[in-house]
Amino acid sequence: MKQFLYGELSEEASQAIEERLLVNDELFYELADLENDLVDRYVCGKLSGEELRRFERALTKSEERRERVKDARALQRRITERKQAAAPAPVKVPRPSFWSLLSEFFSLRAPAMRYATAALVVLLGLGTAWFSYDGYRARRELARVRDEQARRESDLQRAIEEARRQMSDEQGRKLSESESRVRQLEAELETLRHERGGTQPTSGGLFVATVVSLGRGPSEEFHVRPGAGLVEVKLPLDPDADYDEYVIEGARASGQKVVHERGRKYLVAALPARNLRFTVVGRRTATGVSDKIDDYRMTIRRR
Amino acid sequence: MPEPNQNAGEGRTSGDAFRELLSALDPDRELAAERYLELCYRLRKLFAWKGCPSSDLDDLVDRTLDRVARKLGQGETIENVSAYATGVAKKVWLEHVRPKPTTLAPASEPLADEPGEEGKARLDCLDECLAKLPPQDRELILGYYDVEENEKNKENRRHLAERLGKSGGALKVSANRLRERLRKCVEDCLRRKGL
Repeated sequence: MKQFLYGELSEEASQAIEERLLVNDELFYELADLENDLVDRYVCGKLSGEELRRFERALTKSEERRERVKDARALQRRITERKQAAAPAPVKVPRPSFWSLLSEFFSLRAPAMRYATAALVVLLGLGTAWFSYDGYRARRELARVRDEQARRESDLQRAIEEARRQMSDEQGRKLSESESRVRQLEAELETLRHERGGTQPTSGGLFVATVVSLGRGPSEEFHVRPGAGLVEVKLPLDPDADYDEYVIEGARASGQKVVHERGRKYLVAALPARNLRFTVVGRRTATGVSDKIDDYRMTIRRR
Repeated sequence: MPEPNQNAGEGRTSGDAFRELLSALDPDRELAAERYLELCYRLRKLFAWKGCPSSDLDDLVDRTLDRVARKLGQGETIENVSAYATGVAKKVWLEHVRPKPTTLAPASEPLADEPGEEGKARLDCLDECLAKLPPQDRELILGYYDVEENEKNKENRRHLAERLGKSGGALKVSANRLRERLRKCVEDCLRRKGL
């Protein structure tokens, strides 16, 4: 379109545009607008280089465009003058003193101070928020550490108690084993003595064995079989217990059997007639489990 | 507005022919008048772009439209008056150019300002013509053609269109027509002043 306006197109190309000018609104006003812009920019000194040369070359061919330049010059002058007239006149401000300058600088009227104050407020806010959050985090961490410590203490305590219990059980078991061993040894010693021909507790008189249940407390007396050096004991058993067999441990017993009398159950066994400690144990043969029924102490005395 | 030639020659009187031309432009009388003025404006630009001297432009436009009107007065049916006028304009231009071949205007000093009195007269005429414009049209033309503002703010014309409640295209058309109107006003004013 610039080529057309500058008259640089061939005759055919120009005619092609001209034929459309009167019927194509968009083309026509695009050209007219472009021409006005070129003329205005020319009078305002905005054209340069090749553009300026082309425009001035075209000016020499068109008197009408030269007239437009004169009109444009007048119009642009009036536009500039009206803008200058509309702009507010500069106001003379008296020179401020040093103290007023300082005061102005630190007052909030100054944009710099407003921004600085706003920035300071924001920083303080952020700082406070950060410290609050940091404190909360520290407290939470402290609580967590304390909880952890308490949990560890609790675990340790439990471990200690477990160890004590195990130790106690172990000690108890060992003690029980020791006691059982002692009774066994005593029984064997007694037997040995008896076999060596020592005084039978039953010779020269009637003897009675008192058997005391260490668990339940009651005692019973049984007669010592004269000359035999044995005493037959009848120990009560729980009729509801379902043990397969009952065994006496800690003493050499013989003839053990379970009898039922008048709804009650007893363990009958013959023991050496001497002071003894023994234990009655119930066994379940299917599982091999043995449970201590009761501990007993037997003492022999002359009747 | 160019007046129809009273001595049209063949066919009906040129007055009737002129009325035929307006009717052919638009059945509505007022719209027809607007379209007639638009056609004059475009023909004038066409002749100017073809390099015709300023002093001949109005005459060339008149001759073109007279011929179109005469054709209509002879009973010819013209579907598209503008397209037909283009063809007539071309012939008118050729007739104008042949006997008077276009000579390059003497190189002038386009950068030089007008001589004092003429320059001042043009400014006074421009002020007079701007004052005749309605305020909105004045704002339009002074805002649209503000070169400095347009360079500083590429959205200047778009904002102006929004402020005046026009589309970009409508603003362009209005600005160009107003400028043409201003040009004619200043020209008439200078002629009255003998310049």
